[in-house]
Amino acid sequence: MAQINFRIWRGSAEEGEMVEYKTEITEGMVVLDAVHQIQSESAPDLACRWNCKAGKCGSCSAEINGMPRLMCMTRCQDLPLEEGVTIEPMKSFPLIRDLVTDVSFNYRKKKTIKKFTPREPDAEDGTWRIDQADVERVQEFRKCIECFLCQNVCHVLREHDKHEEFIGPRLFVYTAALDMHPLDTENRLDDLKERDSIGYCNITKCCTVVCPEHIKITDNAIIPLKEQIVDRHYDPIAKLFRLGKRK
Amino acid sequence: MAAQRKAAVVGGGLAGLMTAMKLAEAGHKVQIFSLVPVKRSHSVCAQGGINGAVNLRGEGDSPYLHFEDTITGGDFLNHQPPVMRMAERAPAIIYLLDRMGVPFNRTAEGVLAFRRFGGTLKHRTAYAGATTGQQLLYALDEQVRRYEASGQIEKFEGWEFTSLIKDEQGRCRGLTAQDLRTMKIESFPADAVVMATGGNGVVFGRSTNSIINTGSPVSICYQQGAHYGNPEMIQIHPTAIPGEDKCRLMSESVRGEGGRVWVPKDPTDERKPFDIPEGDRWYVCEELDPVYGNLLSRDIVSFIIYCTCRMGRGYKGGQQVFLDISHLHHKKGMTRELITDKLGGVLDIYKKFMREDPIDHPMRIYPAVHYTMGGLWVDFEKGHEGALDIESHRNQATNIPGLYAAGECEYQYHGANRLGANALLSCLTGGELASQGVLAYFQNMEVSTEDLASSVADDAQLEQQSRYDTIMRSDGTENPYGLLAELQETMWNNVGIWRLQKDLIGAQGTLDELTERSKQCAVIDAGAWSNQAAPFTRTLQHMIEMSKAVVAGAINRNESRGAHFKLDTPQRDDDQWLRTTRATWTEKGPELDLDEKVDCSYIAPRARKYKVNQHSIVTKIMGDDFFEKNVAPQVGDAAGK
Repeated sequence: MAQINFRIWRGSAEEGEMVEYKTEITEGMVVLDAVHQIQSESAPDLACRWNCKAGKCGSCSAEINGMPRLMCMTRCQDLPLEEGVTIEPMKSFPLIRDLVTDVSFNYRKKKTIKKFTPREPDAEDGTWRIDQADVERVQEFRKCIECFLCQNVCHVLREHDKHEEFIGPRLFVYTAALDMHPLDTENRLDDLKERDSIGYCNITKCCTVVCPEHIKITDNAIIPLKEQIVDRHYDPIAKLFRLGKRK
Repeated sequence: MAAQRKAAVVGGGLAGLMTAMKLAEAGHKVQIFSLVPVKRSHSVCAQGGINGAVNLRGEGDSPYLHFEDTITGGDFLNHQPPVMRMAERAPAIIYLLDRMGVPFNRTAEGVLAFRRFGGTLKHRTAYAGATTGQQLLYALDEQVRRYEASGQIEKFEGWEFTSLIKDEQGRCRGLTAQDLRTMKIESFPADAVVMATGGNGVVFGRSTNSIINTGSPVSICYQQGAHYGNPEMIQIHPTAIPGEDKCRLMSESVRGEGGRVWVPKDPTDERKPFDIPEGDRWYVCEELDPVYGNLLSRDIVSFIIYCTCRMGRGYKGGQQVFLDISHLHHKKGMTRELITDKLGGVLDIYKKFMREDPIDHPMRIYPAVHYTMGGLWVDFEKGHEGALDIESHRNQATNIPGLYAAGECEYQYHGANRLGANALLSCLTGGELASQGVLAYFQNMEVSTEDLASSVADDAQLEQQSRYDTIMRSDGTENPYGLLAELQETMWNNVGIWRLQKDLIGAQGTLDELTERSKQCAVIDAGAWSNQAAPFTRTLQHMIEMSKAVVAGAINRNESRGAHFKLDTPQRDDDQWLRTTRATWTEKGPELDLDEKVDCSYIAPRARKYKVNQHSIVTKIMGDDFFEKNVAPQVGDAAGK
């Protein structure tokens, strides 16, 4: 096929620039292949993170032509190659070097979410009966590979830098996975409302668009959580009922 | 409770997390070292499921049958007591995971659902969608997080294990590791170290493994005196999508659901596969074994595909054959939707990368290295009535006191060939057993990290620092990435599916040469921050040392068993070779001993049940006189004898 222009971000958190590379793109190559080829031809010190190359480990997140994507799952031929390809690190996280960012913010925040707390077993043998529909709901959330593309695209983090107050779409999905687990008994709604600021999310669904695992983040995780919070805190009839119960 | 001890676990996949969790549960402190955030470990790539003879369907399944399948699958090279323990423990492990909140698929009654997998006739495999490994890792990560919050477990993600710390008595007293961001090397004293670092598929290039699966940590322990068991046993998966630097797996379930393997009768056929009529297709597996057909075991199907392509009979003469399910939706009772339901996740990957819908178009596939059966040699102890004594400190212990191993990085459970859906299981039961071994070891331990002379730890750290500095100062001309490509080519061509004594001996020479050249690498990145090239050079050197053991084991094993098929000696030989290959590292190359006989205390070895074996495949595809023409009748004196 043809020699294609790649513009790749090179540098550290302090300084850096877009550097041009040319490389031959052949049938079936993904962007990660192109990066590897550039490493072996002209930039052996280019830092990039990758591992499974099958869209399972979530390591190779980057912004390709401005769109947050996994490099290993983006076919070159799907891009307008004649215009060249830009590859940049994720912008919502501190840069370590070149295409590698520090995503530890997510791990720190994750630790603050209340853990899984199963109810007592249903059967005498210590097991539970669970409906397949309930299993599937949780399986969807647990497909998350923690690539953090959703966190990267979320404007609350990206534009407004609310990293301290807002936990972002990934961790809403995480909370939903725990909260909607058929065995779980813990209450995480108050935390979500107060500490984690779920109200900042104005359901623009950008996170759903970029999710490589096609998790319906907004529709299946965030909105149901918001609804539960509304039920708990703002439903006047429920409030009356609770008041009455307290006496 | 006994005094609180400190353990270091290397590797954050399923085996590592299981070990760490169990040790923390017993009240000890654990440090986990992982190259990548633990949730990016290779365990996430396991799709199929986890075996356990729960027998909810009343099929008469039992742990004993599970044990038997595992042993026959492993071609009788696995020690039987630990395998029996694994099979017996499996149902409890599945329930344990259920309690941790793993969303296993359910039946209409709300109980656990089980599916069928290769090598058995029972429904024995529990699964969570098509992402079982990921879902299990998720649950264990959750548990480990609890102990992290309480300060009992500490994670070092983005750190590379660089060496063991051994004291004067030869005991393992901790490890050294390098922070891959700051490039700083530090020592971490510990009372015991558990390796849980996975396989070495990357050594072969054509592999379904993640890029971190270099086997380098195993190689480091091996070079520091740990025995390496059955290095020659490498599983090759028949159906993968070929790729430049790694292959993407097409699950065995595709064949399970009726996928057929074929090539055009005429390799120069230029037609699109879809246009090639039935009469012009060669269904090679079905022709060779009409009974098992496409459902022959992994090693046999890989071998058939390889031979076909080696003879130039692959599609367009290349290294590709078809795996075809395009006939399925025409079948009675089958619809496109039903196929998507059953194989959706798997087919999506193909669609994504090859741009064709496998429901209509035959898939192009080729074998790739998939699993490392061999690994660090570990011990076990038998107790009451010959069963495993689970309270022994010898279980999962390497020959270095204080060093344990669990998961794919040790050799114990899968013999010469692994069955599908046993890998996740062996990670978990092995991890659990390793933690019990470590606990027993702690009880009898007189010393502790506090009285380790600081000079011992400092020396180990300085040694690694100087090794790293040497690489950084190196002013040679070799490109380490190029050397890896050469290593991979050597290993895949000579030590892969097709093993011939003369090629193996040739490969030995190439490896010696690569050893020297790997010391002459150019410094392609002199940066002191987040340097990827220098640690890569170090890993490459370890990979070469490990490869030598693989080659030596293959040269030495003068028989064919499971995944190890050598054309010079095409038959299994139970009289001489029911033995573990145990390699010990020396500067001149691996020394092998074969003193350890396989423990066959439950069932005696018997032959496999297929109509074909690799020998008959060669004569059928390559011609009756292939052996006379190509294989020297007398095998030269093997290394290590």
